[in-house]
Amino acid sequence: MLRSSEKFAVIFFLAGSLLVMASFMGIETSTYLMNLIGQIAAFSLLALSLDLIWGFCGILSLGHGLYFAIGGYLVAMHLVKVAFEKTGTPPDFMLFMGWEELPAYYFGIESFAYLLFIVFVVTLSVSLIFGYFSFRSRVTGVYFAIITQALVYMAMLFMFRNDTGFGGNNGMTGFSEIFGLNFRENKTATVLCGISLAVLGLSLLGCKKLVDAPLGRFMRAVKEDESRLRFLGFDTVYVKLTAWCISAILAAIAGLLYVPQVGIINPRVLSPELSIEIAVWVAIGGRGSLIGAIFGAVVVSGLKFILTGLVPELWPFILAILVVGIVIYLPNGFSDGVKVFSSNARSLVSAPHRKLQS
Amino acid sequence: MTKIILGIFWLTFAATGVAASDHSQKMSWIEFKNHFITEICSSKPKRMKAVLQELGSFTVANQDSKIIKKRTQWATDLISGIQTKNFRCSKGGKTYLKRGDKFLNPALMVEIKLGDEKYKAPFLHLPVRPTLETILATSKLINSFEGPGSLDLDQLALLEKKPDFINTDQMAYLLTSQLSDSSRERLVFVRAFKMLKSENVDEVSEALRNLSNIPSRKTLTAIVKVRKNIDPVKNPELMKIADDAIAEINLSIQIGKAMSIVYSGLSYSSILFLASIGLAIVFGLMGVINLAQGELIMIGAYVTFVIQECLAAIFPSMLPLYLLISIPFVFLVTGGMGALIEYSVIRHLYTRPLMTLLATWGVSIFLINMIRVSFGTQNLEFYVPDYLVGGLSVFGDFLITWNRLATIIFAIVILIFTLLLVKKTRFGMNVRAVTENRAMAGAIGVNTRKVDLLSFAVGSGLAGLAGLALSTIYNVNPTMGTNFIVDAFMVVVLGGVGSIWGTVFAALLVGMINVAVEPLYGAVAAKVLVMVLIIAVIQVRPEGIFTMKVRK
Repeated sequence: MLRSSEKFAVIFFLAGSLLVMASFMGIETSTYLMNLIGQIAAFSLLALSLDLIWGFCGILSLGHGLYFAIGGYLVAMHLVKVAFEKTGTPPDFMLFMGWEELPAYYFGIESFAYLLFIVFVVTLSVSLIFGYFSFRSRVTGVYFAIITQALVYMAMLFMFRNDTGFGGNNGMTGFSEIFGLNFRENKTATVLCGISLAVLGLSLLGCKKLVDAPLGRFMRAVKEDESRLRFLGFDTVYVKLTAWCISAILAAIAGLLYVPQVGIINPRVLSPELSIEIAVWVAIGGRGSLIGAIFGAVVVSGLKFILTGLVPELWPFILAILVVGIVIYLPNGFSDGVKVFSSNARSLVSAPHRKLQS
Repeated sequence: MTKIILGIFWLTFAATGVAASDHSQKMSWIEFKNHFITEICSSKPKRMKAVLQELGSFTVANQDSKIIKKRTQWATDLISGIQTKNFRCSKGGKTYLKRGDKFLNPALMVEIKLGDEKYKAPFLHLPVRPTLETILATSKLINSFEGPGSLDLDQLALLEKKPDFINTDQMAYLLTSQLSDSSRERLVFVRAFKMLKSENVDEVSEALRNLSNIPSRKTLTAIVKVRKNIDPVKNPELMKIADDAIAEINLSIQIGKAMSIVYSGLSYSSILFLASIGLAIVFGLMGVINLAQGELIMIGAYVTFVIQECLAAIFPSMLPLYLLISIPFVFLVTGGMGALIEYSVIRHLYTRPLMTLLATWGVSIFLINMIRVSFGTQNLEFYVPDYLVGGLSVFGDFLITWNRLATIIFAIVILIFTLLLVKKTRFGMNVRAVTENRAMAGAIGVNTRKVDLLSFAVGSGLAGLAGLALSTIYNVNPTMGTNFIVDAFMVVVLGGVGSIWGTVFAALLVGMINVAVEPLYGAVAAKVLVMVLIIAVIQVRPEGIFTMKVRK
């Protein structure tokens, strides 16, 4: 399984690059399809980021939507400012609040390089502060999960306010162009999709290298038995903190890729439900397997795209049954499912009763 | 209080001294009665109003209470006669008052024979009516008064509606009698309202002093209005009194506001306690957090609704008691549901607590959508029984509302019930044993599986009761659970694992912070404060403020 990650990484990267090249050669593609693939690629990256800490370090975050939203909101700020400067029409929230100009913290964000820098800085500082205080006091497991959920809920309440300059309830939309490409053009969707796939491929490769590196071994050791590691004289706080910050930055990049493709961001990306859904993707795909997390994100969000169109009433029930069923009967998600078809079927029967670290 | 007493001394003086200077006072009672009748017969609104006020003052302008009673009796009879059109005048100045089928001379109240003149009832213009009504009401009050507690509260309420038209002399007389504290306060209030508008500086300052003892928004607006008309150069002292009164009332209103924040904080804390006690016990016992706890609260509220609808259809007479009747049903349904969740899902996941989070989340979206499909997404309408409507006004604008009081009492009862269950019963002993050391408890014969199942069921049942308790206060809809679940988490994390008193303390803390900070800085600030508090607490005590001493 692990070795195939590299293969997939290369495939994603090549597919992405091909798409970008194709679009510059003037080949028309279906905008809808490109958007769909691009969004799923962003979700996959998000799942990958959670898998890195949950699957390899044993830390479950039910609030990873927070970092996703940091990336998303910052890129939305960039796009809003660009649109405002190019077209002269102020964004809705400025009209609503009766503001003449954008708030001071929009300074410089029209530059894409500065945007990347600020995404990095904000994500890193939030994850560092929260991670340091939590890991230092040895908050783990269920405790940590529900604290992260409270944090993302809090952020949602904050973003629902209309006076923050982030669009409040309605969010931010009305983007006109991204690095010179107009959103109305067919090319833009293809380029964004290509970039998302390429970034996903690169991140997958990077994560693979990371988990195979000494740090990755440390992370797995933390997951298996943290207190023994501590007893042996290793400082687990910094291992966890590093993994946590890398994961947060990957999630922020996912948000950065996602928002230009859907063309809107609102506080609902911060709802606890979305954050739990990320964990569900990972759980369904298989924790501890990088490609499994991507697989889970693709399957569940793909199913969601299809089924919410066909049977919107039934989708929540299907999701609920899927989650409960897989969590109980396939402790390692579809990675176990694969085993069903292999000769190892016997080991699965006893799986739910085996002592497993989660 | 002393101010009121001083005021009364001043009033007695006013009743005898100030009123005596009135020109009508020079007349004798019989002369005045004739004067009054002529003025009323004139049908001129201004003259009628004036003479009605004179009548009010005249009735009480005597030392002898017997005479006063006689005079107010006459005033009551005559004014009622005017109102019912039993009092009529002729053009030639003759009058009668019809009582039964007898015609009386209105001044002397003796029977007379009528001539063939045409009699007409004096026309009551609209501006005259309030004066007429208030003088009548006050006369009736004086007339029917026989000692403390005998005050006619209906008449008093009538006066409170129209304080501008009362007669200050009559009020002053009433205040000299022995009244209960509450009715005295109401009378002083009514009188002060009238005196505020007086031309006499002493009366205004007196009124201001009295009003400052009765803090409410109504008095504040009245005083602020009066203050605008005070000339600061001519009446610096009055200005100062007005400012003092405003300051005093403002302070009282602030205190009242603070008290009502504490009160609604208490009621929110009660619901939080009910919502999180089950979580805390189960977390202590199994290390498992039930993300469907919020939905169990929601189900509790929906069961209450179903019971209400059933009662309305089958036994409408029992409807007001539906909240009490629902208690066992809600507990059994949500408890049973909890047992089902434990048996079908959580049982399989003991060794994987993080997976329980996901599985119970799955359960929660299942429940939300089940309710959404069968009941719809709109807010439910609950019947609020009479005994939960309204409240008791305590201080300033602070009102003890019955529905919130019921919630607080209910939470206390549940707290006692839970304490007894955990500390005094065999089941509770087993729960504590398993919480402390599962393997050891199992080894000495505690059926840990059964303990898990039962305590999960009890915890779920308590969550359902939280839903019942909040059904008449908060909105009930399929997604209501999510609003409570995050606060409930914070309570569990802050209070400590499996500690009942920790949960009580943390629920109070989180509830109070939420209610106190929210109106000032918004919901976010309240949550941020709680979050910062949690992170600070877990730096020092990673397992919450109150933790059971457990050997690991």
